[in-house]
Amino acid sequence: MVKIAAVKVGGQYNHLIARTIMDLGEESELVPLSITLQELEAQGFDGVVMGGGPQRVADEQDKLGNLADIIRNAKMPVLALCVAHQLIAPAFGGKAGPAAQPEFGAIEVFVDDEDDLLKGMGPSFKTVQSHNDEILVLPKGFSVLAHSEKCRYQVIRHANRPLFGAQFHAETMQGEKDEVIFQNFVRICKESGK
Amino acid sequence: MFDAAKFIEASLPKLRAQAGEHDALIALSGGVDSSVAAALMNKAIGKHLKALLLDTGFMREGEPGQVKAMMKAAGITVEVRDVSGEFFAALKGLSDAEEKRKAFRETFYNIFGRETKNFKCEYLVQGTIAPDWIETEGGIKSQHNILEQIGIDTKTKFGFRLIEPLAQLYKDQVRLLGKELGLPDEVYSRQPFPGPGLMVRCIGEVREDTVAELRKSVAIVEKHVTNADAQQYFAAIFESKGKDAMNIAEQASHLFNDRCSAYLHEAKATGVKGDLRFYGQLVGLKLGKRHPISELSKKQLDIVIKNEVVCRVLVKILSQHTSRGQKLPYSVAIRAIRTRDFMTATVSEIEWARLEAMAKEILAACPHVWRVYYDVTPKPPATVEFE
Repeated sequence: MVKIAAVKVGGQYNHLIARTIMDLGEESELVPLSITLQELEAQGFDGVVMGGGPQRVADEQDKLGNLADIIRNAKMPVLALCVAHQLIAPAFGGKAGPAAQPEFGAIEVFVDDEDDLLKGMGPSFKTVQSHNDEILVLPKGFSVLAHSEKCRYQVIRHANRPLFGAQFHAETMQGEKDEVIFQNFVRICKESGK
Repeated sequence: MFDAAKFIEASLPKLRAQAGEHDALIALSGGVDSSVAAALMNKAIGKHLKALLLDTGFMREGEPGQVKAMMKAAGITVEVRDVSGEFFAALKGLSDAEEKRKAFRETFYNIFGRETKNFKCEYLVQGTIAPDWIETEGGIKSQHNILEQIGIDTKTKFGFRLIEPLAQLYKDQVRLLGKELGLPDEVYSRQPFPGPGLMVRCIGEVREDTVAELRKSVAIVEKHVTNADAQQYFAAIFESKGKDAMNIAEQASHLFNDRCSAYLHEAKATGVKGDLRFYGQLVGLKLGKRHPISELSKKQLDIVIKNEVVCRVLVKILSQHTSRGQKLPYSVAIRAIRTRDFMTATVSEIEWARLEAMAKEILAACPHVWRVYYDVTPKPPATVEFE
C-alpha cells in the first residue's frame, strides 16, 4: 500500500482526490496548502496530488503555498491538477494565464502519448473541466501527453522526473476512464518507491 | 470502495464519547443525510437521542406528515413544529441568494437554540456531508448547516454544541451507510432535498403565491421523473421580467443551425466556474426544432463562455397562450440531473414527449406561469439547485 497526500489547495474537488485514492485501496490524507516538501517527506508520503483551487495563476501565485517549490524539487511522484498544473509553467520558465476559451463540464480529451500516466486512456476520454486559466507557453523539458479542442496542454510531463500536470478533474469520477489515471498514478508511486 | 460496516464500527465509540451522558437533538428533515445521521446516532446513544422536524413552510406537499410516518417505521419518533411564519417574516424583502441563505440559517439555528433548551439537549446532531462544507468554505454557496467550519461558535451563539457524524462522506456513501444500518429503502434511496427546501427553488424574493405554484410544479415533476432518470429532479420558479437578447439569439441560431430567439431573464442563479462562485442570469432559448438534450447540453457551453452575464441556459418547452403575446409574471424551469456525489452533474436526457407532458400539466396548474423551460446546463458551470 502507498500513502499519497492530497493538498487542499481550496478547490471543489480536493477532498474527492483523497476519496478516490482510498477507494482504490490505498492510503490518502488531505494536507493543508501550507505544507512543505520537507514535511511531505518526513510524514512518509509516497506521492502527492495537488488539487485545483480558485487562485488565478497569473497574479495569485503568492496564494499557492509551497506548491511551486514542491513542483521544482520533489523526488516523489507529483500529480498537479488544474491551477497546480498551470503553475508548472511559470515554475519552469513557461507562462500561464487566462484561457482564450475556458472549459466547464464534461469535455473530450485526446491522448497524444499514453506514456505512464495515461496508459489505457487513449485514443480519447471524456472528463470534467472547470478552468478559467491555462498553460500558455510550455516550459522546456516538458512534453504534451494530451490536448482538447479548446486547450492545447491538457496533460504534460517532465522529461525525466515523475512530475505530471493535468488540467481536468478526473477525481470527480464522472468519466468512464477517470479512475484509470489514478490507478496509473498509484502504480507510478509504487514503482518509484522500489 | 467505501466500507459502511467498518465506518459504523469506527463511528459508534467516537459518537458515544462525544455525547457523553448528555442528550442530543437531531435536526431531521426527512432527507437522506439527516435520516441516516439519526439512525447512526440512535444506534450510538439510543434513548438519549430526540428528533425534531421544523416545518419551515418550504417543504413539499404533505412532506412533514410523510417524514414522521417514514421515520416511525424506521424506529425513530419525530416531533414536528410548524415555524413557517418565522421563516416568511425573516425572508421578507430579501432577493439575493446568499442573503436568503444566511437569513434562513439564522432563523433555523435560533429556533434550534430554543428547542435544544426545550428538549434539555446539550448537543444538536445534523446530517452535514462533505459537499456542504466544501461548497461553503469555497465560497460557492453558503449551505445553511455550515457553522463551526466558518468560525461560528454554536455554544455561545445558539446555546448548543454540534455533532456531525457524516461530515466526511458523500451522498452515495451515505446511502450505503443507510442500507447497512437497516433503514427502509424509501429512506436511503430518496432523492435529495435541500435543507432550505423550496426557498432555493423560488428564485429572488419568496412570496406565498410563488411558493404555492412552485410546490405544484415540483409535485408534477416528481410524478413524471423517477430515480431511474435522474438522481435529483425538481422545478424552480422565477420572474418572467427580462428582455430579448439579439446577440445570443444570433449565436444560438448559428450554434444549433436553427431559428432561435433568446430571452434574458433578470433572475439570477448560482454557478461554479473554475472553483469560483458565479452568480449570473438565466437565458431562455426558443428553438425551432426539438434538438436532442445531449446536443443542447453540450453546446450551451459556448453561450455561457461568450456571454459573461449568463449563468444558465434554459430551453423553452411550452408557453401559455395569452392575448397579444402578453407575458405572465412567472416562469418555471424543470431540472433533472445525473450524478454520483453532487460535486459535478450532467443533464438527464428526458424525452421531449415527457418534458411536454410535464410542461402542459404545470401550465394548467399554475395560472401565473408564462413559460416552462428545461435547464440544459451541467455542473459546472451551473450548480444543481438554482440558489
